[in-house]
Amino acid sequence: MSYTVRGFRDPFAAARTEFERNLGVQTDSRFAQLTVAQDAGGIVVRLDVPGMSSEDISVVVEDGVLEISGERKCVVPEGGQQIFSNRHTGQFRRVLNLHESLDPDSIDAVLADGVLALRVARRPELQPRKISVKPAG
Amino acid sequence: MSTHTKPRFSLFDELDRGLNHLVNEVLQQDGRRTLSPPLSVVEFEDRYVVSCDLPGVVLEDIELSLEEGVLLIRGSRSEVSSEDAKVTVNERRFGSFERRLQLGRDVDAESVSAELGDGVLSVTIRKQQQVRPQKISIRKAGDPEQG
Repeated sequence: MSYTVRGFRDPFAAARTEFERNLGVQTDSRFAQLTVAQDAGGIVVRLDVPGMSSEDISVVVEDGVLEISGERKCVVPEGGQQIFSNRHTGQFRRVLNLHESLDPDSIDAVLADGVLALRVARRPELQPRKISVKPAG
Repeated sequence: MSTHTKPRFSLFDELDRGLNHLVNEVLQQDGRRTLSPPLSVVEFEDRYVVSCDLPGVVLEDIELSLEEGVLLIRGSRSEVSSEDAKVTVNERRFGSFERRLQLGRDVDAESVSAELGDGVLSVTIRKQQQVRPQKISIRKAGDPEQG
């Protein structure tokens, strides 16, 4: 008996795609690649946006969906001629579904050295808290 | 029915291949594969300006050299993250990067300046004086030479 399983070449690829689909991350971006790091307090999303100023980037959160978009313009100074470029220009858009445990009102965005860092805290009632133990009496 | 038939497909082989693939990917990210960051070159009459995207890279981690008309930009990018954070999505690449750029022999290796801002490294390389286009004045035949 022989059997083949189609579309099952890389079982991890399937798991990864499924995971990313749940998060709602679009994976085919040439620009604004991102990482999501998670700790007890919430998540930090970091995007590579070299050469962009904060005015060129828009961060919108609506109905638990975080959208980061903008446009990188190709500016060639006067008197110059661009003879080569493989840098990305044009619009970009990244969308992430925020888990319901995250507080959309808590988003804090910082742009430094071409990296945009977005911190989203866990809802206050879900934050880890230390409970003090009192002696009896 | 024979009991010695070897299955042509084995889930364990697939799993093994998948694991190897995953491990290799992690190892590559660990600096085995050199990244080549995107760049652009703009030529002016007297200089070249090379811009290279290096988001999140600190100045100390960049090495720049110009030798025989070849500009070399290299260094490494490391992630800043707290130890207890778990990375769940990882598209950004870290590790060493290198970009070589042949600029020709008309460049002046002594006059290279570079600045890093907003994650972009801008390198300005002046062209040598004698190869810049020079304006040559034409005098009328018979007129005495000026100067």
